[in-house]
Amino acid sequence: MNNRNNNNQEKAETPLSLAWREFKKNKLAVLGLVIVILVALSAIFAPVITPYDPAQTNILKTEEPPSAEHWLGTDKVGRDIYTRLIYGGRVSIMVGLISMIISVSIGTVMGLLAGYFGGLVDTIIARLIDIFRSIPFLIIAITIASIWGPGLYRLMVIIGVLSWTGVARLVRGKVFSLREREFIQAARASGGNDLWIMFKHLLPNSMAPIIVNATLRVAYSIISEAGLTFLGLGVQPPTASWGSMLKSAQSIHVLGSMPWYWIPPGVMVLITVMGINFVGDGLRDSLDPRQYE
Amino acid sequence: MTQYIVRRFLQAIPVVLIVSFLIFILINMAPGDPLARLQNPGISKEDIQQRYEQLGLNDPVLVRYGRWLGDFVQGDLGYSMGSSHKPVSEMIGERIVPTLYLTLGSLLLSIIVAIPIGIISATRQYSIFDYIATIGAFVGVSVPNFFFGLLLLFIFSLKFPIFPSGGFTKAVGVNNFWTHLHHAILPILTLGLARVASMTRYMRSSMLEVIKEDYIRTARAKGLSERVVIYKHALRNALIPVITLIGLSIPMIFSGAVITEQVFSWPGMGKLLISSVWKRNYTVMMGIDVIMCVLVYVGNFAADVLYVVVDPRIRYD
Repeated sequence: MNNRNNNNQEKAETPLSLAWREFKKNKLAVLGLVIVILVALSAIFAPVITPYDPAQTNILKTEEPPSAEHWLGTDKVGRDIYTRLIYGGRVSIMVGLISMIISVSIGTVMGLLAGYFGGLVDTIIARLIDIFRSIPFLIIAITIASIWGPGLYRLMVIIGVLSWTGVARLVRGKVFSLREREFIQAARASGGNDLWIMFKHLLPNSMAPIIVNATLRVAYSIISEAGLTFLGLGVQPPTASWGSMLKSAQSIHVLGSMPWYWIPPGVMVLITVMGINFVGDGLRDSLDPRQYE
Repeated sequence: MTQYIVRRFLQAIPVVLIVSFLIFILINMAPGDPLARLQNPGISKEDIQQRYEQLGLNDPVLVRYGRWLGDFVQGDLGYSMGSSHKPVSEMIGERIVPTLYLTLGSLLLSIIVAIPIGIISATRQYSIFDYIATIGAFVGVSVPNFFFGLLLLFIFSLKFPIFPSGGFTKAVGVNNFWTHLHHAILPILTLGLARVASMTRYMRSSMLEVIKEDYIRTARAKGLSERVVIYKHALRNALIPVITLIGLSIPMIFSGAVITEQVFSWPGMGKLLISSVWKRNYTVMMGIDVIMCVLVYVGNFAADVLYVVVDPRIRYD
């Protein structure tokens, strides 16, 4: 962030505080930030918020409706649904963040390589991006998950590896526009090698689109996790996740008579993803208004 | 124009080849042995080895892919590894119509709903309508489609039984256009919501860009009515990026269809894919994956052609 030195008209303010001032003007973005912080805090402090253990079964108290003791009732093996909802947030946030780190890392490196070297390297990477973008994500994710076997960590890798193209395209475009600028020529003239120029000069100057896209990636990964888990190819029982709780609504009994079981995790996914989208939108406007369109 | 279409079509071939090859390798990495059920003391090792040789399973992967490709271009996708041993092409043939009904239906829904909302939002920027549409679009892109589907199912099928809870046809009685539509409304809404939402946002921002242009000011200065300015001069230009979005969203529509079909027991390719995943029916998986990718290509191709029709500035050569 501190290397974004392309605008010099601001003297007293750092680019970061300038961005924050812009960000604060956007009410939805601030609301989104508050939502994201609340969800994150509830996931982090899950053991403090709820007295129950998410895996603790109780055969004597199964499928109970909401009560003062169990705020959202209990599931079919007597686990506290509210507790599983809070702990489920940990899984969703973890999948969101780790998948994002994977996809943004791959995408950034690909974008830097394509944009910096151009020519054949760029042609190959651009073709690769085209191919990845034309494959329906879920269909390939399902195929990989079925062959490799489902599971939390595999899920993160699958989502991450299949969704790097957005970042790659943005970084590639940005690097193309930066490549011939004076400061890059200066870096090259003073003997900087390719790697140094890419990671010390081009990368910091491409941070704005990367940050915006990384934010939206988290949201997208959370939805993907829920979807793949809903299909049975993601997080496996007994781990609680919002997707696995929604999966239980595939049974018509749960769907029809226990709405308190499956509606809360759906709403949690919705508000978390919406909060992140608000933040992403706010970042887009505040980091670099002319970056997009 | 014809030349453009032919060239665009030929460009798709290498991509389909690469994608199908990658999927082929992927599926070949699957654990398990296709002849494992023959392993029993009554059958000698040599016989099994001979069977491998007969089936060509000892050949290098490229040779086997070549054989698959040769069959594929003749419309042969192999046989199901399930108990039915039906040809995969026949199984997909039965499922493709419901899937296309669902995907095209939701695409149509998104175009019909999103474009007018986007126009009104843009022409009345910062009005109550615009505000509600913007928030609605945010909710629409953030809600997981299967959760929305479950809600619709819960409300309109279980609590107020207006719509059937699943399937594409009635079990008894005559099936006509209306019974299909009756079954399809909830799935199409489910799959269409996210598309409607993102297209609305796109249409709005695209329209806002266009109405700032000089030629719109000129049109107004000529004394044209606001209606003609917006719907004749601005709309056509504002649609160009929206068509790009349609092309880009086709893979997502097919992805979404897989989950939607699962929620509504919709007898399409997505549901077949999920059930073959559980049965490790690799020939069916391979067939569906490749056909889905081909369908995405056909969709992108259609969007490209549409693009040229809407934007006369694009040259065909």
